[in-house]
Amino acid sequence: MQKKLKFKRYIDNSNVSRFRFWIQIISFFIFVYGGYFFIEIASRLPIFSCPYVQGSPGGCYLIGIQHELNTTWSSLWGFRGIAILTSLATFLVFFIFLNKAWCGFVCPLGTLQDWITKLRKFFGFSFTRYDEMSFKRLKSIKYILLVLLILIPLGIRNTFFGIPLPHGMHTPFCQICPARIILPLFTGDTSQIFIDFTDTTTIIMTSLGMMSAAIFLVGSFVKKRFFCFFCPMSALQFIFSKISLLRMTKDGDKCTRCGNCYRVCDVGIREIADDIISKNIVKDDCMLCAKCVEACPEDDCLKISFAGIPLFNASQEGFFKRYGQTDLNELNELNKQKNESK
Amino acid sequence: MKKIILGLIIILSGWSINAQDIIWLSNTPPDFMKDRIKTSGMHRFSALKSDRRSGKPSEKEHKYNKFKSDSTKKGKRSKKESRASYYGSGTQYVQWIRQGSSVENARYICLDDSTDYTLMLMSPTSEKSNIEMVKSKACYLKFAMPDEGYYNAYLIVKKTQGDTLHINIAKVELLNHSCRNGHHKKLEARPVMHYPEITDFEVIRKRHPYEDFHYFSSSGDEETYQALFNGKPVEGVKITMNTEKGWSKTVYTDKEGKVNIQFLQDYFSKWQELNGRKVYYYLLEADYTVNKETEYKGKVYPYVHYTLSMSDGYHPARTMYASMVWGLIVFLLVTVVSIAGIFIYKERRKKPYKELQFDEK
Repeated sequence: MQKKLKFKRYIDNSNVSRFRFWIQIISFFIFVYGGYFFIEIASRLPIFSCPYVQGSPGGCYLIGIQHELNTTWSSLWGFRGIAILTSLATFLVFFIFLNKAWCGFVCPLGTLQDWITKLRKFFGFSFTRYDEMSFKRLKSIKYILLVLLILIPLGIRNTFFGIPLPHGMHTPFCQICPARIILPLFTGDTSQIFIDFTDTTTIIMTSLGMMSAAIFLVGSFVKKRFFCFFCPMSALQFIFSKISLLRMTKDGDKCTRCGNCYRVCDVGIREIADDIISKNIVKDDCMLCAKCVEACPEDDCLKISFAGIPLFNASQEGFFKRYGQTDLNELNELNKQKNESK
Repeated sequence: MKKIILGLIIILSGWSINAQDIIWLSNTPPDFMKDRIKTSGMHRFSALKSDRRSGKPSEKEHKYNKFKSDSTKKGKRSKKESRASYYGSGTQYVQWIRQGSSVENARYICLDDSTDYTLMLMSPTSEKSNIEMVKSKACYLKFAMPDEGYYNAYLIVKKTQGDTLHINIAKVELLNHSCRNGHHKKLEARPVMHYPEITDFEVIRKRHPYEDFHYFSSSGDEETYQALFNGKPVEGVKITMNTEKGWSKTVYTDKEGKVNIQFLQDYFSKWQELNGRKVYYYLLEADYTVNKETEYKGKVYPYVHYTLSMSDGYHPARTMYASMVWGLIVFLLVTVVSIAGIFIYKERRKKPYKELQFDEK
């Protein structure tokens, strides 16, 4: 029993961010170069394991669903419908284990954004955060993109309100996804940098793709996890988040609303600090990176558990170990500034 | 004297052979049927609009199809074909029979009952199925392709002239693939199938090393064709490539029976005609005469002259419709504008430094 407690204490005091850093490197290597080493994982993965990357060992679920939905209504009620349900089930089988930690730990595009953030820090540039109003307005974009990536392929085969959609809009999200252009560059493949002049639709879609790649790079440089905020995969994951085995919970009674969790959050989720009523604290923009748990100085206030088994809990001791006195002073100063501004 | 007469006979028979126009299978409908045709898929396969359906047919439709199937010349359809056309992908694809070497102007013909012809469709798994010949104003061949992969369709016409048996093999290789079915079988598209049991002489298109279900020839691509006789490579076979725009090239097979032909970019579209998905067609002709005694309809012929035709489509050159330079221009432009936008936004949000000085005196 004592050994168990000792081990738990060791985990709670550990630096998850460092662990995450290495997991991200390994995942990036696997999901970009794995195919070259005969690694094949699966298609319908809940991350941007982009099939446009030559060495990709798997496929992103979004490309699969867009292909599958490019079908007639009548087919949806037949074997096509079964295929769609099967691929959704495959997605869920993977998703159920890691919940939104797929974004925080495994997604190669997420990792790339974290590396760009490190680069920004290295150059000493300051980062930006959205104000509350912009945050609330912008977060709906990912849901709009999710609805569009479902409706557009359906609209190609079945006209909505008599408006025919061109075939050039097949896999609409992939065409504007920065992962399609940026991730192949890591394998030396520049073939995705182009404007397709096949027809007007392809000109528009590929131009949007090039624009999104440029905005992704610039945006990630000034805003942490810039793209994750607009990612339809994140929206899709959140729909099924509640059935996942990996959870993050909050004990509102133990929260002192110090705001540490909000300040360290890369995405800038305010509810993590403000919400003291909800038990399940995984929000749609959360990527379960556990930075908030690391920064929480209250014992067991924030917890990460897998199928009810506690994995990583917030603890005062862990907090002091991770941040050290110097960082704490900075944090206290920030708290003071915050209180003064109020 | 005998040698001279024999030589003259061979020359004259050769001339008459050349005078016979080649029969081939085409995906392009005649003008008067264009309204009734819908093309689909990457290879723009033609299907009659009336035949395009999916799912289970109505009872009435089922009975009608059964009646039609029973009344075809070749008899009842196989169980698998019936199942495929009724319950499978549903779509019945069509190919037209054409005669002449000009891809654009070859006439559409119909084969009468007195002509000795065989129709055969080979599935990707080498299963035989029948092709229905529909005789209307323009004859066409109708068949279902329920499985994914390369289908080979054959129309073999036999004719005699003098002491020569002429065999015209009209072959077409059709790749049936829908991205909606996923890509788990993409490498299985590669094997090239040839069937010595159907025809002694055959020409196959060799696959590229990384070819998959998405492959489609384009202008500028080099394709390798191999001539086979009884499944073995043949040297010296005359192969002529004719494209839709009138370009033609004749080459002879090497020791391995192979020829390499690079598709010429024979058409440059205007800026207003942007259509990178346009399919141009080519016709490949192969001529081979073999001195082999062959019995046909109770008579022995010392010569067999094979004429093989193979038609497929090709796209305009990829480079014509994909511009990396423009891609980079858009990328750099947006990058610069974004950086400038962020800089201006940040500068505007900066509050001017205010210094208050108190005179303590």
